[in-house]
Amino acid sequence: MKQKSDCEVLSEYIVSNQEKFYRLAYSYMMNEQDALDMVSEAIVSAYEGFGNLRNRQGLKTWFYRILVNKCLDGLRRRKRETPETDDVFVNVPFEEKGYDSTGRILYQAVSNLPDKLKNVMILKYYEEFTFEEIAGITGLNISTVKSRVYLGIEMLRKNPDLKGA
Amino acid sequence: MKELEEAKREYENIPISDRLSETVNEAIRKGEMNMKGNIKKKRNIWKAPVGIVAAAACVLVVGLNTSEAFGNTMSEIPVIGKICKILTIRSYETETKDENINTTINKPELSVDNTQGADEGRVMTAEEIAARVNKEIETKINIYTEDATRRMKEYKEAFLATGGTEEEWLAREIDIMVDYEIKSQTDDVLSFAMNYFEGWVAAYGQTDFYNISLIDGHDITLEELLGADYTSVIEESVRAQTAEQMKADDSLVYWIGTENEYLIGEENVFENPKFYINGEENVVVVFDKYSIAPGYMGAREFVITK
Repeated sequence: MKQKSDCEVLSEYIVSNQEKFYRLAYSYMMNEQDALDMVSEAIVSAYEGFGNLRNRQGLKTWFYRILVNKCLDGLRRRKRETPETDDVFVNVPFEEKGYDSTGRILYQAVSNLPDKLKNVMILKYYEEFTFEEIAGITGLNISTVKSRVYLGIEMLRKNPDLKGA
Repeated sequence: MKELEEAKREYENIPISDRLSETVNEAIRKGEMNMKGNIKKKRNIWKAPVGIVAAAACVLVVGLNTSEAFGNTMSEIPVIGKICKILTIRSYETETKDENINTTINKPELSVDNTQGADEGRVMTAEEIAARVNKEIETKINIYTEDATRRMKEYKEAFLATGGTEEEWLAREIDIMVDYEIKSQTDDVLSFAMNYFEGWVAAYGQTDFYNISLIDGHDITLEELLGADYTSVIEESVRAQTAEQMKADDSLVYWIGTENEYLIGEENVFENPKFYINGEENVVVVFDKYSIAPGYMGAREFVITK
């Protein structure tokens, strides 16, 4: 079997996972344009740094690390540029209140968690990364990741919208 | 909390932008283009200092051989009299025609010209020091060029297999380059950098530093230069310098000393940094691209004054 070139490995990985990247970026940025921008910036940076990635097995964690950091940077930039609006568009597609499913309410609640907790909750429960992988992506140590996930769950449990969930 | 699975389904229902695939393809193109752009930039940066260094080294060698006054002055300094002509520059080019891969190697070779005077008090003779360093460099260059050539061949194969033509390949100016740069040279220390670089992925470039004692041939350590607590000496100095630089210039970004510090990762970057010794005999620590700052900042150097 012919070995793939480095460029090919990277572009194939990106192309086949683009929807996942977009969803993750969207869950941070909460609007289409910003999510597209973050995915795009992450890809460009990935090309720049790919040669330094010695361990190709770590490609996934590495790419998510770049993407997550782009999103966090993007959020910070946005805060700087529009300091008066603290919680910017939380623009989750929303049905009429009476028809909200548990999933939808919970999804909303996760979106509204503080960034630090939201970050690890998304990676853990939506993207299904292990604690160890999340540590690799966020640069936190494993015990910090765990405690943030548990704190996130705790906060969801206490959320009055989710009573009985 | 098993309800999170239901939330996950909501997450998976986030509508995908119909501009996504266009955006992704555009970004991939841009990423690949930047790679090429970096290659050109990098090549220019390298050529200049090496040219200057080569000229300077020649002057020194010529000076020693032809000017008695110069030679005498030099020989009054101990040690250098024993290994005065340490540098001859040997360059050779190999070209693999069928693959069209140009390998340019410009390597330093230490040689001992002035064999008068004994090697009293030395652990290694001048010849042994030269031989050790030359062998180390030679081995490293061989390993690197073999790897780089293999990567290049694989890349070409893939390039042609995915619709690239021979003509396009020829237009890509692909190269493997090995170069060096003398950082400083005194009676008893030689400090230089070896640069390794391959054309198609700028990020494969790497730089190694050699700091060699010309007295006994050993590799000089940071501990010798900065003391047993060199790690904290370096950390303190780098933190102060990054803070100062960021304060003075808004466009500079370091992860150190900011909320992004976690991006550096678990390892202590101050423990074993690359370094060289500059003309003022100060230690200069070098952090690779990405290690303490975002990629666009490139590798960063800090002079550590004791």
